[in-house]
Amino acid sequence: MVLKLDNVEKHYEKFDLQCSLEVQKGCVTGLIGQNGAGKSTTFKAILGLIGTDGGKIELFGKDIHKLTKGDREKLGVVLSDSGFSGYLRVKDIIPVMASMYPHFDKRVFEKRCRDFEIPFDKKIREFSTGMKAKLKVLVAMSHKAELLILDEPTVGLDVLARNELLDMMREYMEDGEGSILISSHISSDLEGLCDDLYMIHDGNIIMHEETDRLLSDYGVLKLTEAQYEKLDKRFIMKRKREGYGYSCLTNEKQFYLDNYPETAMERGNIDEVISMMIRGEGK
Amino acid sequence: MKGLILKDLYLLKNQLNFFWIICIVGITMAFTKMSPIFIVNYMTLIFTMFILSTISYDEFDNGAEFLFTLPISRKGYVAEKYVLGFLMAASAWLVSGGITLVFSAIRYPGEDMTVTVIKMTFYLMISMVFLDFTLPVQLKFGAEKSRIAIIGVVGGVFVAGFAVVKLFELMGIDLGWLYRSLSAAGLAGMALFAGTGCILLTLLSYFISVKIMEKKQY
Repeated sequence: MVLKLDNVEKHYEKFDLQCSLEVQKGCVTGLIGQNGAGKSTTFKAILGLIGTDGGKIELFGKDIHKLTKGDREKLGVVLSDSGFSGYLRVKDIIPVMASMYPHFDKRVFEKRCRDFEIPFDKKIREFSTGMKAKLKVLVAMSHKAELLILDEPTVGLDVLARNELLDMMREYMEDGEGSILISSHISSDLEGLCDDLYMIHDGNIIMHEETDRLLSDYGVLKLTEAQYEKLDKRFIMKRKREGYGYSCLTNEKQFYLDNYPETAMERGNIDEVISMMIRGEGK
Repeated sequence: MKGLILKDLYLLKNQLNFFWIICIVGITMAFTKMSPIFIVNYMTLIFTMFILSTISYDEFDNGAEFLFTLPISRKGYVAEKYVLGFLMAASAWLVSGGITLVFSAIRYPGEDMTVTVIKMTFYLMISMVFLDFTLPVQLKFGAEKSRIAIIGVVGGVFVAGFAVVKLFELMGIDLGWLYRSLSAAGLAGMALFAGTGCILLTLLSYFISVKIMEKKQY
């Protein structure tokens, strides 16, 4: 296991985080939730940028407070609202990265920057949003990190730029040695990339599921009141009152397709599931 | 630390024009009848102040948050600021001191420069004392608030110093021996004493800065 959060707590005046999650080696784990759900707080806790009020965080099998410089070299990080100073240029970053990371691959980094048309001689603050986001990801991937921690790496990007970045992440995962913990509020980004997903809401993990299972086994039943009354509710996770009756989230889609062929069933997708998990009530 | 120093030097390149203006002012001063000691003091202190602007650059757009995701400890970050601050002060001191000594040697041939050199070392120490007070304040309060905070800190130090002297007086302890011993030690002895004090103050300031950074939440 590369990363483990065990009942990590952080209390603010108006927000409480209580989070447990794991990232396995060779896996891409997604953290999805609304704005203000606790994604960035979780990332900051993992990176030691904030102190915690309880629980334990282990990175590479070590308590995060005992990480050495060598351990931190194995991390590649993208933060949504922070990066290298906007007053630096890419040509300035190269020697800085080379001094900090023994595995920094200058040749590959420069090639990727050229491929993505990132200027070397322009101050970062003058970059477009897309260029800044691409540079952040390129920097995180430039030194053969074993774990990438990416907080909203695609925020503010158009579809093409997002796909380019997601392709880079897939390329990074190809050798099977790396792992990624990624957060996003764009569910389609995570659907095609992540092996498993954690959903966070109001500082709590409300669901953890493998992406394949979520897409294949989860579904939303659309039921009239009469249909709902007769329904076997064993595999219903959440229900929501609708104008026509109820919509119900299940993690055994096939059971209902086989036994209630007359009911309308929507294929499970992350947006539907998270919406039901947050807004829905117990069956 | 090398990476951080490089980063700060690249950031300071943004202030290159300001650097040149200070150098021109310094050279202009050397041509006037201004005291060479004052020129060295001015140059050393101004160059030392540049280290504070690197902290402002780091804080801009939450940059410090990202910095601490790199293989940098908070202790290492603080140490780099002190080391680079000292290196900048020492470089400015050496260059401006060297130039003013050459000017003085040309203007007043045959004059013994030993006393001037010893006096100059006091100004290197003053720059370090300046860093010792301003760095923890800047790290604690950030670029904006630290301007007000430093006034409070300096005022507080004076009040504390005054209180200590008064307390000794009330307790009947004569501090005159300190003054007499320093006077007897001569200028070089005083420089040595001040140098030791400066190192101790820098160590204290460094440990305070480390504590401040370790408590910081991003």
